[in-house]
Amino acid sequence: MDVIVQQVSRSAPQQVVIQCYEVTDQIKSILRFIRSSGTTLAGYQNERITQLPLQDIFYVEAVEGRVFAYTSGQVFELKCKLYEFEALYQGEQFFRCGKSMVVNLMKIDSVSPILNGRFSARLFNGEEVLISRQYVPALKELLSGGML
Amino acid sequence: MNPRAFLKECLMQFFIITTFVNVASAVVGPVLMPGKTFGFVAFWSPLFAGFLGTLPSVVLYSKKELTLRQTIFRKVLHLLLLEFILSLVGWLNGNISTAGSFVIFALMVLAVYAAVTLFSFLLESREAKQINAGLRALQNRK
Repeated sequence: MDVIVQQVSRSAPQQVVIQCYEVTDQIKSILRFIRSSGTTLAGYQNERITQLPLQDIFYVEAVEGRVFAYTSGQVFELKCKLYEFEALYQGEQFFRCGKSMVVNLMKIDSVSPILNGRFSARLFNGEEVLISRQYVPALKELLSGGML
Repeated sequence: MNPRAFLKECLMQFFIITTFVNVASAVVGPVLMPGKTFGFVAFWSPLFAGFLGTLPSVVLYSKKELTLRQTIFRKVLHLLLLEFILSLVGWLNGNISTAGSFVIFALMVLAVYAAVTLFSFLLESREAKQINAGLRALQNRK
């Protein structure tokens, strides 16, 4: 597939045009990536609202009824439920890895086994998150099936 | 973990333990009791050992996600319970009567436990490799 990047003047709208024979899974994946790369979320920190780029989030965790998004070095509260976040962004590299956690697959450096069928995911910022064993088959299917 | 998944895991453990007990008996039996012969009833003993070996797994069950420390603690407790139950059965049926035979039996249980843990770890390592390869492919694609 050829990739062509054309610079346009400020007066013209920026756009991405995909020319393809048919809309395959690969094309869908590119579409999802393009759409998500511009997505931002309202992250609350000390009563200050920050527009948080979706791709900057390493993982999202629910703690005592509140939902927090973790970036490389900061924590923001999100005003949504974890299942709502999962439902909205699961097609955009976010994967439910535990009862109270959704992780960004693009931020996982490596996965290694720990006792009892669970896995530990080391993120690019050095943090480690657990992948519960009940979610491991779904992760394998997701990665091998190229559903993202 | 949900109860159904736990039950499935217990069944898997049962079959793994039964197989390893069979192998251990076949290897160690001729050394410890070279002249001993058995009837058909003896075929039940690995199954019985498998059942008893699976029973203490209850201590590993938790609805909440355990930390590595908690998991290690429960694993040790699990091993101690196994040693206790199996030694007790051995003592009751007269197979373990001296301190020496108890030590050998305890070491055998430990060896089987270590083998099962190692086997599971190797399987999980292979799974981790597949997941890492999948992640690399995904991250390179984007």
